[in-house]
Amino acid sequence: MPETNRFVVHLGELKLRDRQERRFEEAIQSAVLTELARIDFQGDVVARFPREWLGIWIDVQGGLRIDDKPAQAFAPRPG
Amino acid sequence: MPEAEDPPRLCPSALARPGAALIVVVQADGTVALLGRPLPATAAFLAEARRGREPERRFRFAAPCVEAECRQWTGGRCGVIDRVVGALGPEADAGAEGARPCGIRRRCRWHAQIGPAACEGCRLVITETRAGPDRAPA
Repeated sequence: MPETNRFVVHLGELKLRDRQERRFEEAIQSAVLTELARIDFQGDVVARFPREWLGIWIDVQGGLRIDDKPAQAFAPRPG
Repeated sequence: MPEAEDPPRLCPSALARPGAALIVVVQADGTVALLGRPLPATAAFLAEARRGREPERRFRFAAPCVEAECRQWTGGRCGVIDRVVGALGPEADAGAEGARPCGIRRRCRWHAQIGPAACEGCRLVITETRAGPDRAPA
């Protein structure tokens, strides 16, 4: 089972009206989206290190490009 | 009573635009983490995301497939996933059995087109809209 991140808000015995419940849901989703928007793992930058790069780029404006060729250019030089 | 039309297929590598759904976060190793459930790419989310690097480098979005209006549409199908899975070769089939939970699979253009092998290719795709200074040389 892969690791997951799951957050639960438990409000105990509090009974919310439908409209209130929706507002809570919207507020929680908004908070999650805000934090997600700030995430940048820099994962695409591994393109600089093609030996570790498994990704495939789709350039929406320029067509598909598969970044396996630069591996030669970045490979350590012998000696 | 008229028959209900099928909803449009979803492109799993769409641009970050209002109305799109956030489906993926790009991880440090360059592969992608599927969100358990698509989240709406709201105006607030997009505004916050654009304060950093291009959202398409850090996330993937789903939006209705525009078919022939997309430059990747070739001969009645999406050319992207064909090429991705073609590049992966047998590895795509080997990984297909373990497809992870995905919030858009039932409507996914790629999955509809080639089946579970699409999921293996999907995990390696990052969308980018233009060349950047830190992009690998061609």
